[in-house]
Amino acid sequence: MRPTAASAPATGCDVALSPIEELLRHGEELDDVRVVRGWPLTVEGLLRNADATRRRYSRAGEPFVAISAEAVMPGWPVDAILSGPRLRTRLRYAAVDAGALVEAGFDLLPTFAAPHVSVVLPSYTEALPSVCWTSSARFESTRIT
Amino acid sequence: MTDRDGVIVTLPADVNQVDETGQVWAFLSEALEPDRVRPGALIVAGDSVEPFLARVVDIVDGPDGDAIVHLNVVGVPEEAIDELRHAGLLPR
Repeated sequence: MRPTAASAPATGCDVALSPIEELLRHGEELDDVRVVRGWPLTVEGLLRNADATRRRYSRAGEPFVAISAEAVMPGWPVDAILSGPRLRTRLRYAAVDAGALVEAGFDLLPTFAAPHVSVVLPSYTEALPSVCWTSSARFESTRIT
Repeated sequence: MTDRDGVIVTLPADVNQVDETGQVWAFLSEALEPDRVRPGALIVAGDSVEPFLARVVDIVDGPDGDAIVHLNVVGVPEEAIDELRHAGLLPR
């Protein structure tokens, strides 16, 4: 992963979109993983996430439209994800098999540090609600402590 | 799901959304009162349905001149309230 500018305080300067290609984890197969996301799970919440991502990152020179989630994978069992520092704050989460997301027309990329993944949307304006996360996912649990 | 009445989130954020630092991030422009969002501050972030407590780690430059806020997720508001009550800093 490339160095981040996170330690430099904001100066009001404009910076370019960051290419997501430089932030991928290489060699990871996501075909059979289960993808987990905590609240917000509404279409509005998902679109807000996708909008923020496209305002900050690019893919192939275009804004990168994607939703953040986590993948259950070796070393990252679902309990560890749900009891981690971030998702332990969620009362609701949804989980879906990667295959169902791909069938619905979404791409899945291993981005940033494991177990984070990006669910790539065909476009920001395309009929997201008809095939979105909330329709293909199963609400599974309340907060794990 | 409905919003909790009267809940004001200092910085709308998505706890799922991390970046290359490993921290949750959000655009400062989303804050209704940006002055409350400063490095070291303890804020209520997320949304009004499931807010979370977070410590502002830093604020850095982002695209289009919009600053990016990095957050360290501390917990849920109920945890803080319970601890403050236990400490006698809030009425029981």
